[in-house]
Amino acid sequence: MSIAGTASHPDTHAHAHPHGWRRWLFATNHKDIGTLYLWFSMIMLMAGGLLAMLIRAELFQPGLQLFAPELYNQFVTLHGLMMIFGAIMPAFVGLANWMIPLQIGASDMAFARMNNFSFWLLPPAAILLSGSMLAAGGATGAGWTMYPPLSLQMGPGMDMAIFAVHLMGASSIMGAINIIVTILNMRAPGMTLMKMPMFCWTWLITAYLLIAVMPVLAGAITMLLTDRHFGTTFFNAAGAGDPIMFQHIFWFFGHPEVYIMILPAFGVVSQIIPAFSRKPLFGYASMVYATASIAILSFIVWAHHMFTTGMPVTGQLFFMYATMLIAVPTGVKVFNWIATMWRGSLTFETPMLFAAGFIFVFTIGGFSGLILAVAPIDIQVQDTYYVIAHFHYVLVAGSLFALFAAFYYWAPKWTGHMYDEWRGKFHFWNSLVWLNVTFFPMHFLGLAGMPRRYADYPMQFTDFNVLTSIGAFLFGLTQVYFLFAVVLPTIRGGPKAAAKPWDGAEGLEWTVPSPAPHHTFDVPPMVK
Amino acid sequence: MTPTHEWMLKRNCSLTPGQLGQAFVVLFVLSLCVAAPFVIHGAWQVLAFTLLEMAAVAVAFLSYARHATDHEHVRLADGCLLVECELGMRRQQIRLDARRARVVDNGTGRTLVRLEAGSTKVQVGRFVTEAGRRRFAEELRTALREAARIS
Repeated sequence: MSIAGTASHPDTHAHAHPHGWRRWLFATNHKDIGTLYLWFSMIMLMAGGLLAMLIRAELFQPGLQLFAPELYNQFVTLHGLMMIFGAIMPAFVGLANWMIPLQIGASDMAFARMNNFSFWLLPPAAILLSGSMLAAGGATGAGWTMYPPLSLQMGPGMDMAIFAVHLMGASSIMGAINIIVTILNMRAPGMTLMKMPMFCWTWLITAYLLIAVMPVLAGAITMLLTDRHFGTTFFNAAGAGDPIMFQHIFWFFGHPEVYIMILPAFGVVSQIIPAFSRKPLFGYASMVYATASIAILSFIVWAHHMFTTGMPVTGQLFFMYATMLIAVPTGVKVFNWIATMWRGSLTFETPMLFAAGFIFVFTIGGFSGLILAVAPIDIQVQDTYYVIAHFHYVLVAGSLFALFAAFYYWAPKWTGHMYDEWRGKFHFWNSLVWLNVTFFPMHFLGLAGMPRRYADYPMQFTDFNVLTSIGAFLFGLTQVYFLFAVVLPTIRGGPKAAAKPWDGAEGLEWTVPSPAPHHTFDVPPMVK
Repeated sequence: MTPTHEWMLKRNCSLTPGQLGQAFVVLFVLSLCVAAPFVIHGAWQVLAFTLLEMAAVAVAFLSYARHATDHEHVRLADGCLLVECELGMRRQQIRLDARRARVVDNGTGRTLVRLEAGSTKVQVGRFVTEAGRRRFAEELRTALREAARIS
């Protein structure tokens, strides 16, 4: 018996690629769509970063310096929404688009046209969100959490934000469906689930999380919308509604959302550390189970965001212990990464620096999370800068560092060029130092009682705020350096990258040339 | 007795439709478990969005599973060229007289491979690449020649 060959997609044949703007508008190729996602997230990172700079400029000195408090609150809200829904999530979806088909030996994503649609929902959403600044009364200033009753009192900017979040949610759902179908169905022959690269595993679990919780967010913001315009009183106490109910619904989405933003980061780090340790990942199976455990636990911890809303002690105890439990699988992961490095033949090129830096700074964020899980402590520091410090250590030091690591690791495959190593290291060390200068003092501010979401603060908090603002400006400047001195030059030129530029790297993505051709794995490879 | 030759031309699919169905059930149950408590507490919108989303997932899974087992099976044995096609759960079986059968292709692999025997014609090669089609056409031609020589 002979088999003439198998194709990932039926009837594959050479066809003309559209050029110019049509290539991007009608893109169905996973690499093109991945690139679109990554550029979109870069633009949103810069926009959200600009807002962060404005926030830090206002907080440079006590008193109102530059903006009215209402405008300040709009900046804070848009910064959060843009960074979460516009920068971090799309960046990981971009990585998924680029790398999942390459890692599993598939020719493309399962639903190429849906992939195009899910991306092109994002720019209108971003325009709605940023354009809401121009609406009567400005953008929403209710915070990214959109708590009622404040969100019920906002102007039309709130409605624009709700529609924007709906669009971004729909985009995420379509992306998740595509990723699930692709990973489940299009793996190369021989690639069983337990042979999949960790990045694919973490994305598969993340996609399940997205499918599970996105309707919850959609429900919550739709109820907000009907409360605002259609006479319902779901969250209006005057109409027998319950504003606390919103918090339960929101955080049931919101906490898994944190893991949606960090699990793919774990996947990236799990790819990079073995490559630069020149050893297989320590405890692959336990890594998979730990990822799944974190995802499962994320469903039962939401009310740790609500300890001060008045809940029974038994409730506090349950959510406190359940939250602490997450430290176990997370600890397994950190242990495995360190065990992978142990006695490895380590080299510290920029991807490894960011991955190792990730372990260091993300662990700080993890530990402050553990501290916040303790209900009596959380009640003291609720809504203070301690919380700001904690989640920025998770999202900037965690997700963003992993994204940088991913760029340096896979950019040779995307662009066909090696980045400038010195510039990469300069970017890393500046990011690491200024990140800590920015966010570490926030712990002290929080412990001293400085509340979040205020444009002003008492004189006693000045010194740490000055330090934080200086750190933030320099961190922001470092990212501008990353864009103009690393990303753009790497795309335009540089030393040619080999098909496998990292000698310890393993995986199907390194079997195709650099840059990866427009069509790869028309015939799926056999995996032993 | 002529030797038997077989070709299985199929798309790569890691899961059977049944396994994909199981994956859907897991997603559906998970999503319902999430939505149900919210409905009990009056937030029925969550269920509405869950059902909408699950419908989208179901459509995606179905459209993929429908073609998961698509294949073309070509068998040459005992003077008969048997072509079995499964396309979107439609099954078709065509028998051609091996002595009269000929392979028609333009050699580039860009078009499907046409098998003809008298007035019976069938096209194969939907699920393979250009190179695969060229290889299949070559192998089949050789096998048909060998079969004709032996008989």
